[in-house]
Amino acid sequence: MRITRSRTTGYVIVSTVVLALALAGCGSAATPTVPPTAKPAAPTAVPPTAVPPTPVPKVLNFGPLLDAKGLSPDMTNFWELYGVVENLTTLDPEGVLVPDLATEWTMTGDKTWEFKLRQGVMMHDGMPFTADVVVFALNRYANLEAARAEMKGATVVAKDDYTVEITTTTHIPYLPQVLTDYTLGIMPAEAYDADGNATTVIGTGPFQYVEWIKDERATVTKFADYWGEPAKVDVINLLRIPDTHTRATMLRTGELDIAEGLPIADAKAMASDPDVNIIETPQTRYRVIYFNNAAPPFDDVRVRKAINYAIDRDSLVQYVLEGYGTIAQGPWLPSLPWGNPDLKGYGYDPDAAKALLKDAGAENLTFNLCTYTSRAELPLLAQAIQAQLADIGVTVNLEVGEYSACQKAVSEGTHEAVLIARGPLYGGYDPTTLYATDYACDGNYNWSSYCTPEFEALLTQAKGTDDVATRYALAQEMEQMLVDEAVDAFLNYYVGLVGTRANVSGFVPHALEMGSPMEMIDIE
Amino acid sequence: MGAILFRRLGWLPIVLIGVSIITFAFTYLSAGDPAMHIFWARYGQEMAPSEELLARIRVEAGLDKPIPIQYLNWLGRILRGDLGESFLDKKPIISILARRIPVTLEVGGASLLLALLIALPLGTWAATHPYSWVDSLSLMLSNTGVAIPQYWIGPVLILVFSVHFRLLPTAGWGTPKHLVMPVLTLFLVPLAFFTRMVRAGLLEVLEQDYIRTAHAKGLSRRTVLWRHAFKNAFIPLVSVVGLQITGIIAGSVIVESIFAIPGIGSATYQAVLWRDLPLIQACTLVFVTTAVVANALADVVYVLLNPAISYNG
Repeated sequence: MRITRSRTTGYVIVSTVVLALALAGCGSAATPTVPPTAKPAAPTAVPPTAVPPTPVPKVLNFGPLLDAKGLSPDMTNFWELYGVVENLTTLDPEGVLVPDLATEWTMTGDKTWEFKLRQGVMMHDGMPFTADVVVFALNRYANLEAARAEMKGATVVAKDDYTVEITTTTHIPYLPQVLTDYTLGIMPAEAYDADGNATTVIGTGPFQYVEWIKDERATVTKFADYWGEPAKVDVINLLRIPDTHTRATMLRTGELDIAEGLPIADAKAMASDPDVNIIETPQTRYRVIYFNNAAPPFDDVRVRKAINYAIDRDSLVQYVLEGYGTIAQGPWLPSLPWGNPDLKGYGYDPDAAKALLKDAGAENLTFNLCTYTSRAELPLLAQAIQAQLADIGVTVNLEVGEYSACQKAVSEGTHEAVLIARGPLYGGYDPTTLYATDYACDGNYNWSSYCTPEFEALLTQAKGTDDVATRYALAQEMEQMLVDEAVDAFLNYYVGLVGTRANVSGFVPHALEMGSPMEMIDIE
Repeated sequence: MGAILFRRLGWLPIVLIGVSIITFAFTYLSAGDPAMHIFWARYGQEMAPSEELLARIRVEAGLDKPIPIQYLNWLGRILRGDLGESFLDKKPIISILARRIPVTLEVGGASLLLALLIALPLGTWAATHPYSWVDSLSLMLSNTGVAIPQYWIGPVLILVFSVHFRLLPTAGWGTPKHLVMPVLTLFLVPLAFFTRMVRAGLLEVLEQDYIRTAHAKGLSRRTVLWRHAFKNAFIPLVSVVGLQITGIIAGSVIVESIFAIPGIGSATYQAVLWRDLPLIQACTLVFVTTAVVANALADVVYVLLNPAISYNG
């Protein structure tokens, strides 16, 4: 064991005091589990009669969008979102890469990186955070079947107590960005049983894990020895309310202090409620029509352009999404580091569309548009697009069913156009990952069947570019190429709706859906 | 009568085997490759697998074997009490069911009981005082009860009791207060059917000759009702209770989702959302088996209560 004897004794003393305090203040309803602290046992000097009354703990009731899918970071982003588990690097609410458990990093070779770790960090089990924890966590991840390509098969070794060296199987110039991914959260071996299944959550964040009952609730409490800014609330109850309407209602009644994933109709209804604030959170996920570029009618760039011109993106956002969305012309949200606010896209121009169709000899164009119901707004958007295209004489046959039905058509190559919602950062926090899956000739999500030597050449060049600025400039060039060739019809980005009670402060929406900093949230 | 029971219950295993085949077939009827569903459940719907990963999943899940063999393997495991593991968190499904079935039983049982407790006196009063205002009320209740959908009445109850009067918690589980609105949502349909059944059954019986004879003997109205009428009037109710158990199960999916109750209904809903096929199969199996067994039992009780009935099937 790494705990020294004197420290163990310290725990016993502190725990006893804490227990006494808890008993003294047992009138309070929800006494949080108080973590053992390693601070000097000062309270022992205070005579028992002078013990101040325990303040009522600040409890925050939070209705998350989704439940956890498990305990280990590779299974769920839940414990990172709600302040329990942390990564070596992270993205701040603006989307900027910042140090987290690592303070600095350098590329030391073609495939090797060195990360200096933050010192003086204590984990929730009372152990110090050192290189061996990172070595365990990342090596475990690198051997998982589902590991991200960048980290799969990587080896991680400790150079000293606070330095680790990561060796990847290929050249990954954006490894620090990859390490922000939730699957790469740092959890020590002590959290796993002999079979490698997590039995608890041990992290380094501002909140520590107390319990999780699947599909019911999770509870986290303030970690007093957090290395950063201490949390302002003592307990967060993360209540799983599957029905979004019920979740919104509980915000109205005050049973929830913060509710994520509000339906548009409820957000509108609560807009006039002085006790509730509705916060719009930008999201990178977008809605897009993937054209099958390899088969008629969409193997003709004029036809693809015509459809792009004939879609009135503004009214889709205004009337179908009731204002809760932002217009997209390309895959990247302009606020991303490689996003392009000056991207040249397609305005609404039905005359240009008609001219293009005439030129292509496709005036009486008819095509099938596949979409699915699990995202309720997609069929509505499809209907609106159907009506817009009817204005230029194009007939759209809607095929509305399950996602798997569209996927099946794509895998058989029988699809013409597919309207889907796409999260572009699943493959990693770098533009090349989406390009590699969706627009490379061998991409395994290339639903557009897009394959050109020019794009391939740029992709190869971008992948081999270590300089971040150059890399992002190439990404913008590639995005413009996709738009110029009208490979797909990008429609709009999602906007998340989070509601907070008026007495909640410090909730900062994260630009990239990676969670608001939980330690900042306060409640009166 | 023994032969009748034997014949009725003798069908049960055959029906259950049919049920198991249909349940299993869901895996294949649901669009797409089950290996894809496993992949999506584990890696997220927007990922695309490599062929070798899919092949590995097929071997791991036994999907590479012929379908009849897969079915027999699955049936064998189920008969040994092994319902498999959830795709999502890899927990044994039996432990999920063990935690959730009692919750659904509590909500469903309370709903049925409350419906019976109200329907019996209400239906009786309506039958013995036909065309009175109580009778009209019972008729109105029967019609609206079956007409109001649960996904509407649930949110309306929330608006009234939680948002407006702040009397009850909107959703959740754990205190008796959490039980009120789910039960009120679920009990309306059975209440409607039971009331109508009690009223109709009693009205019919009250017109029979033996009741007139009993009256003629000079027995009091109460004795006639309790000793002679009820016994025969309530027999049809038994089969309706059996049917309503099925209705309660179906309703639990909606009601438990609205009120965030951790029962088997909301588990089914979640399983469908996440395409957790083994859990969907297990929940379906529990639902259908309960329905089949409840109806078979209702038939048996029916026969036991009324020796005049025979099945000539």
